[in-house]
Amino acid sequence: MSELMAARIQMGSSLAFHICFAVLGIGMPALLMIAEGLWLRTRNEVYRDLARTWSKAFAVTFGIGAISGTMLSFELGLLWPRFMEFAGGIIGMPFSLEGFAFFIEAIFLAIYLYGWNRLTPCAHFLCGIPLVVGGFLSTFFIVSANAWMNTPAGFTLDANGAITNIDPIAAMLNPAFPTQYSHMLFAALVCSGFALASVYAAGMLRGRKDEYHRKGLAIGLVFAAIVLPIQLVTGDLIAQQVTENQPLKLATMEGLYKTTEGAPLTLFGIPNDEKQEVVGGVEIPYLLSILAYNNPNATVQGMEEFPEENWPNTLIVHTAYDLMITIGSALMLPGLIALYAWRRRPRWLEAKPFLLMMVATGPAAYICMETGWITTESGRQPWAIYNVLKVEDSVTTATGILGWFILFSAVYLVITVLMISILLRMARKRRQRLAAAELAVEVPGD
Amino acid sequence: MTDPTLVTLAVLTLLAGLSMYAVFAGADFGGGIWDLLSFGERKDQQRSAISRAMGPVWEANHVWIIFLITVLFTAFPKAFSALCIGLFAPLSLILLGMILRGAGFVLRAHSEDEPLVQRWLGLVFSVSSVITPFALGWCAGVIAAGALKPDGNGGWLMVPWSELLAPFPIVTGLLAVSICAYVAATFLMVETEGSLREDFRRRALIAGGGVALFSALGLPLAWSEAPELSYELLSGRALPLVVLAGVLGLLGFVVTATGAYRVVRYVAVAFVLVVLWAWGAGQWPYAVTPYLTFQESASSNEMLTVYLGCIVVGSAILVPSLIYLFRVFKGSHPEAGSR
Repeated sequence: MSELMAARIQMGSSLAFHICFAVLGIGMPALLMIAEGLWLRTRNEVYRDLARTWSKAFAVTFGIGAISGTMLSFELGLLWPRFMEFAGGIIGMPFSLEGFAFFIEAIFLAIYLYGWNRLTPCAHFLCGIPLVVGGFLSTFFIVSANAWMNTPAGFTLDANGAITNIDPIAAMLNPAFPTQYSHMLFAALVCSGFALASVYAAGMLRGRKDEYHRKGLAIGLVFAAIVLPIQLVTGDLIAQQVTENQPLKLATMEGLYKTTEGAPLTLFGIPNDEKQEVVGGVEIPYLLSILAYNNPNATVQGMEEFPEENWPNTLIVHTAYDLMITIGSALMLPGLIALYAWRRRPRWLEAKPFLLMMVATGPAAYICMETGWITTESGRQPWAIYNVLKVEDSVTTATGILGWFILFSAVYLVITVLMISILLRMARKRRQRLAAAELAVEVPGD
Repeated sequence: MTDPTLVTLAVLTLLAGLSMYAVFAGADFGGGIWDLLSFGERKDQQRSAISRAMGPVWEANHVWIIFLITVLFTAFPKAFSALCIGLFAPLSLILLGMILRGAGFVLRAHSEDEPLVQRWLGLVFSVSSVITPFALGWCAGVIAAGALKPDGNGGWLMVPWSELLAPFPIVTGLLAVSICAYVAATFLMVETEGSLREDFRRRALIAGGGVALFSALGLPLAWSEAPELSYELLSGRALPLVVLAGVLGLLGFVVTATGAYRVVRYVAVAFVLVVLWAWGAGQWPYAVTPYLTFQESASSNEMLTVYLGCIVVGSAILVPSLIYLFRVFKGSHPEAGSR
């Protein structure tokens, strides 16, 4: 395996791992505040129990996320020093600012987590605010840097290839940034909501249909179901933005080889670069033109207009994109069913089919988010900085990446297994504690 | 050319971040070192005192290294690139150490009911707490020794193992380990009581002896292996700081020996800072001795101006938050960190 391939695989897997924890870092603080706020309002201890349980689990995932985030900050240099040498002086600043945002989140998480008995309930609740803001700002800065790789701005290259006219603010607020930021932020919220809901649905399937599980599921589902429609809108906006700024990426996402007027949307199928067609996909007439330009007859540029050496991997990008949009749309279903059943068919909400579907929403939302990232990252290939610097010119000249990659992967694997077993044990211990408490209450009554 | 004043200010922010990391994360690494070296009848109490002290603060302390990396590539991208290529292997080791240290600590804290798993995780945590500061000090030694060389084509060469394993960098690595152990022991003296405090007092003396030993070994080695650094340390601009470090080191011994536990940690912190600044003054003006100065590797004026503005604004939010964190969990709360 070439060093370049090893570097790409290592970076890709580190990002895919980290993002699972990052989305919880963004979404969980809001969910914690909702549960704790409901407790403060209603004084129903179930809400407090939920918030405390979540905060303990969140402490574990946040710790692992801090570690996998450290990994990424090192890898930017260890794997892509020539990219950082070029980009650091233009887009480095959001990373430094993210450092501050992450500081705030780490500090207030510690206070939140260890402060249940040290702070007044109200002060404790208010510590959730910097936690939420820290997560939102972290996303802001990191996505800004990523968006800059898609739509580089804030500098000019002179005739010798030297960087001049640097404007760090313009670089940060590059054209892709607003849509990419909102799409990532809402994705994180949706993932967190469904992840929670799916945990409690799994508990209810095992017969634990108590208030604790019902409320846990309800908070997660309602949260995700409210955010999801907004996410579909930001998805439409980002598609239009990509059409404008990265037409080749859009054409690859859609598997559109030929420039077409009134272009259909092709779902799935196997793209064939040689024959320039997608074999076996499902075509929905005019939909692509509508998505890209809000006009059924608009002309959409095909991949043929761009040199083939700059094409991303069509199979990966097209398939990932289709998985994202189909799963993302399907995730509307549980919210709509719940909305209908809430007053009219409340029994549905505890029926096996609904709970099974809810269990699936967590992993489904995560797959949706990961495939979205694969779409945008693979869709940018072969560029590290779109139309400016290729990935192959960014990779380190150091050697021996593969060995380290194997070592780090083994470590990540062990960490994942241990973390999952700890989270499961946490839930079991909570049940044992409750059972013991119930026993203690029953005995004197005898 | 970038304005030299901006470059100096940016280097100072780097040094400030490094100082915070050295003191706070250094103490956390030291905690791991004493976890590994815990012995005697109060072995378990020593360990739980350490994890109580680290529990709420280690993540915030760890963020300083991420901050330092981002500052380096924002303000000095060329230097960052050079370090990452030339020190690929030692930096990967540091990264591995940080991952294992953090994961070991977090996962161990939640594995009370699995004693075997907990013991192994404790070992992972403590061994990596030794490796990481060692590798950090080691890298500083390699850079000072001028072992990181340009390839003549605008790129950099990986430092060969023969130069990574030279005596001077090894000694700077060991010096970093003993300094972390020293600071941690003085912090733990304040956070414990009775015979446990006495345990950590003795450990502070042992670690202080290590610091003295490796400093004594390091200076003559620097003379032959890192001439630029040793010139500045022994006769140049860093000399006053070296003398001050010596005085603070001796003072540290005296206050630790007499058991004035409230004063000890302040002396220890001052000592660490002065050692770090002496090294910084000795390293200046080079980011990569003697091939690349900070000036040569600096970003543009526009970038540094915006960056420094962000540091001011960011610090205005960060500093009060950090003070709040330490006030909630440190100082007069011996039970700090219990959930």
